[in-house]
Amino acid sequence: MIFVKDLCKTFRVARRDGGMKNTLKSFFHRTYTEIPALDHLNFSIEDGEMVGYIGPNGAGKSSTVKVLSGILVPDSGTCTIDGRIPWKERTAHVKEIGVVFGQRSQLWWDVPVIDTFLLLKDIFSIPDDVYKHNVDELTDMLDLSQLLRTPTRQLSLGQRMRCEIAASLLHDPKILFLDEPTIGLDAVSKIAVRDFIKRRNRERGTTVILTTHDMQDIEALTERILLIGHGKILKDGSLSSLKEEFVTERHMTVLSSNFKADSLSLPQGITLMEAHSDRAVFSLDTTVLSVSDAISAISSQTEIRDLSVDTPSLDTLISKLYCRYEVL
Amino acid sequence: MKTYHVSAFRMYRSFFSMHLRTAMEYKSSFLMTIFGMTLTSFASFLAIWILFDRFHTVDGYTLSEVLLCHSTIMIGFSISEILLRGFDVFSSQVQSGSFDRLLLRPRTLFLSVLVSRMEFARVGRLVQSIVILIYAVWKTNLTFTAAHTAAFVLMILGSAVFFSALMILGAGVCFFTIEGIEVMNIFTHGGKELGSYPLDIYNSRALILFFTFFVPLSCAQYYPFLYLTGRESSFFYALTPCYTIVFFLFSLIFFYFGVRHYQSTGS
Repeated sequence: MIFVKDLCKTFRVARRDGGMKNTLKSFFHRTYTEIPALDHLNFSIEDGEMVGYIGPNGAGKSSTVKVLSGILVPDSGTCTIDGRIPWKERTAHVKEIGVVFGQRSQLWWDVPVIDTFLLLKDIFSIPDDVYKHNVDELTDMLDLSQLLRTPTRQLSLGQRMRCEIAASLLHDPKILFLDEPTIGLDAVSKIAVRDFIKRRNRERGTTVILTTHDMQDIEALTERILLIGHGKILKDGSLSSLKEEFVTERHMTVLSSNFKADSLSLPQGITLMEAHSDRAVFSLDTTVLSVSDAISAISSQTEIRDLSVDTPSLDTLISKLYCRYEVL
Repeated sequence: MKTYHVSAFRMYRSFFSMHLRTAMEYKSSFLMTIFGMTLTSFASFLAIWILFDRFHTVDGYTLSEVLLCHSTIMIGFSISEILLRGFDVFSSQVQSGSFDRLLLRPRTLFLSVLVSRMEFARVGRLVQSIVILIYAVWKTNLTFTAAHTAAFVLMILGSAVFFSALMILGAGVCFFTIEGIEVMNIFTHGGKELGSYPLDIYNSRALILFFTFFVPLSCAQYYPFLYLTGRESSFFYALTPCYTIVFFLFSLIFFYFGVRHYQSTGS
């Protein structure tokens, strides 16, 4: 159980204009700007949940993860994870969490991956039998058997990420923080990583907190979304309810043999976007007109040969969310 | 519940062998660096040699006595440079964000930073200094009573503790500046050069006092050196290296104080 209340963190950043003169000036007199990274942040996450933590760059995602994992000390507010305050009981806390930074490796570059694992065994005091069991299981699930004896520098990005995830799970953490785990991965690796995370959550009940810009990650993994902007939680809800609320537009592609799309009389809520000789694309506002009404309105005037209704992508949803809350 | 615990010592040993293996991974680069480092420190040895070739004594100190000073300082410096590399290059660890990773380990921060880097390529300097020390001891005709042996051992340990403390202090400063500050190099590398000679040849009482109480270089090496060469007879002089422990603890406290100001870097 993760519980966050009124969490605040402000960074002091030295500001100066470019150029030699200003550099010299700032050497003697520096002006600081206070940047609130977290501004009275509130949320709670139950055990075994999978949460997508989204927001534009600089919204406070990383700062939140750092506070939750005990790296950063907040200025005010409370945060307890399984009854512990992360930055006060750091060593006890980090035994229970696994953290994967997509852009910051913890594998040793020049030695086989298994050597890093052995070192982690000592760092986290993992008993022999637990270690053996976990390595076997992770090797099996993430298909690592060919990789463990290879030096990290010779692995592809996707292979490395799989090893990276395994490394952060060796000590059986209850909570897994994933910071952009699929960044730069090819399609096959992305799917392998997503499937594994899902399975881990389902089989072990591991709580997963995922920060990402990849909307397919969100779609594939998380049911709940936390949207952060300007250091505050702006929206907390399930993916489907967000879709219902924000994605009211449908694209209807209609195929017909003899089309005079421009001459159709269209009811309120439906507009013509593209017209070709054999097909037309309509935009439909579902708050005004239901999909079935729209189809019957068109079919009464022309013979429909084929029809498809598409929901705009999740990226569109997210950019709408960002615009709505003016976080960009 | 699981009570299995890997001791700090065992973890240190694992890291030690890991760093050693990584260093060996690039054999030629490793050997070249050792050779290069040996060459640069050989230069400062040569400078002393040439000076004495001309003047024979400096302020009543013979070549072998000065070499005794020089080699103990160098041994202390190389030991801390090899083993405390994590603190020595701490500013880069803070800047790159790899310090974040260290905070995610269920270990004390001192241990985590300590094992994060080890620089075995500096071992050339250590070996060279040991050779010079052996030569200096042989030429100086030291009488080794139990008390003298204690002074000798304490002098080497004190030098290592002194430089280690400086590196930890420098690491602590990084929390406030993010970039390492050059002021620290005045003490580390400056201390190394300064300590290559008995401190009184500089003829400055203020200097000796400063390097006794604030930055206890003299305690580490100068005072036990006076005892060892028979210039001072009070055994108290042999015990002064113990004061470096105080300096070490102060540095450590300052480092932990700095951690509380840690801001981490972006994403």
